[in-house]
Amino acid sequence: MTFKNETESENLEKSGQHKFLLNMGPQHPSTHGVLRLVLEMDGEYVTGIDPVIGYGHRMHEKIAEVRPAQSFLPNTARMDYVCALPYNHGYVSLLEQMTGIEVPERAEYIRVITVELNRLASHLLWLGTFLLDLGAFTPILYCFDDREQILDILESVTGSRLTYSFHRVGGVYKDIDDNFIEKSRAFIKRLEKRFSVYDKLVTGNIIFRKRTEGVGIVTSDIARRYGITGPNLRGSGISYDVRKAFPYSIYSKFDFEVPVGKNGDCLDRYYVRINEMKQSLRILSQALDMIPEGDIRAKVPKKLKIPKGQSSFSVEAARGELCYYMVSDGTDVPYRLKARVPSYGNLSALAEICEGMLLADLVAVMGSFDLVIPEIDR
Amino acid sequence: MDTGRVIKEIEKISVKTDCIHILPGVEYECSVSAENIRDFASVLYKNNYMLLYLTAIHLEPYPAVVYQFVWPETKFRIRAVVFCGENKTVPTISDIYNGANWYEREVMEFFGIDFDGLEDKRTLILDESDKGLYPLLKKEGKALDAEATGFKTN
Repeated sequence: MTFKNETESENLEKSGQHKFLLNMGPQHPSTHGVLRLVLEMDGEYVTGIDPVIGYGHRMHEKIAEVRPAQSFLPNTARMDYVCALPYNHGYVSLLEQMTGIEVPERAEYIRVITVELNRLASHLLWLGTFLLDLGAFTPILYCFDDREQILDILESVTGSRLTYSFHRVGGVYKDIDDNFIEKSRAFIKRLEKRFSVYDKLVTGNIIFRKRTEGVGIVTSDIARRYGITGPNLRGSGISYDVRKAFPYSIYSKFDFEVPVGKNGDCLDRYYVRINEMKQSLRILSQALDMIPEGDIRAKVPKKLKIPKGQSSFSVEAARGELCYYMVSDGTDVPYRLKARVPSYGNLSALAEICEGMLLADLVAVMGSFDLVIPEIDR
Repeated sequence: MDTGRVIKEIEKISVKTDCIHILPGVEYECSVSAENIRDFASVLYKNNYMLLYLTAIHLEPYPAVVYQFVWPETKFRIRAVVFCGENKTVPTISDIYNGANWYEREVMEFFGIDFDGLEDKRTLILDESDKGLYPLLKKEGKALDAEATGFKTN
């Protein structure tokens, strides 16, 4: 090796040419969607990040203003296609809160069961793709194997595999049968055994530890300033889960914990999501045991008039707090609907968190953040 | 920390309009004047509140900007409504809550509300060529006033 390269790099530095702009995306496998990052680079180090979003913008909020509130339901699932059922749940719960419709208990149980299954599917997808971003190819095959089971279970009752439109104002679309419960129970048993496989495969892996430990630290102050929610916030040690803080639906009936991290690095976010999956299984098995018989849908008028006023409803989606805020003028068409999506706040903090780190670490942080871009663009 | 103390502090610079008990928490709603919103945000930031989102609503005669805060460790949520004046300008809070930057830029391109002191005024979601489109504004004559949408103005 000659020293030619070194002098060349010195020359570059002297003339200021070692700094350059790097375009990452919109078509890049590790951005998980059409997200473009304009990176200011200093050699291999990232000195500035400017996320460019809006490639998948569909203006859901305007669509909500021009049609009856109930007709907007399929749109909610198309914001976050990886974990669509919490979006259904939040929207119908908001309408029920505004109109004062009582939901049969069985319907609430079915909602929680399907939402938790969907959350598991989302976390499994995250686990696979996160590790794929870090260069581990094997885990995604295991994760997709597990996730496929959930999609099959959910397909049997909702009729679709990804963009569910299953919850209805006043209940759910279809009742679950014994077959569904049986399959769900079998799945819980299966996934409980799989955690040790993931643990052996991933947690102790030296490459994985080196890539995640101490990388992309989110302090509680950053989280607060940017409005980071979900597992990304809990990785920093703040125990804020909407299911516990504002127990909507029937979550207060279940015994579950909110896993939190300590350092707020990528590894803690990994632990938090893995533990969250275990807690979801706990909720699931309790719900399957406790589910009562009864109606699955309350009587709801076809033309649902929403009383004048404003209201908001928050649910815990897989990525954080999803908040719908609606202003109504007394007709059946909402005057204004705002969807506060979790990934939006999470991504906006990326620039501050990742400044000065290696390009490869940026990919690790983005993977650990579990971003879904269509949800940000809406 | 005590929520009562926070309410006392924000009562000096805001007007309480509503207080709804949502199970098992409380949603406190207040109206803040545009001059006071920066002080308001500073008080909440010092008390560990988090900005969940901010958005706008097209009302007659002037639009309103809505801020939603939550304190992650308690069951207390604060919603602040700022009614814009004639110049449709609200001071930015993006230097107190950095996350507000994106929300303010979004409101700016969707509603045409200007945020005084906001450094980064590029479009965020829409294309640069769509500047001035303001897609979330109602058609002429369709916008309602604050009373008709259930807002309490004082």
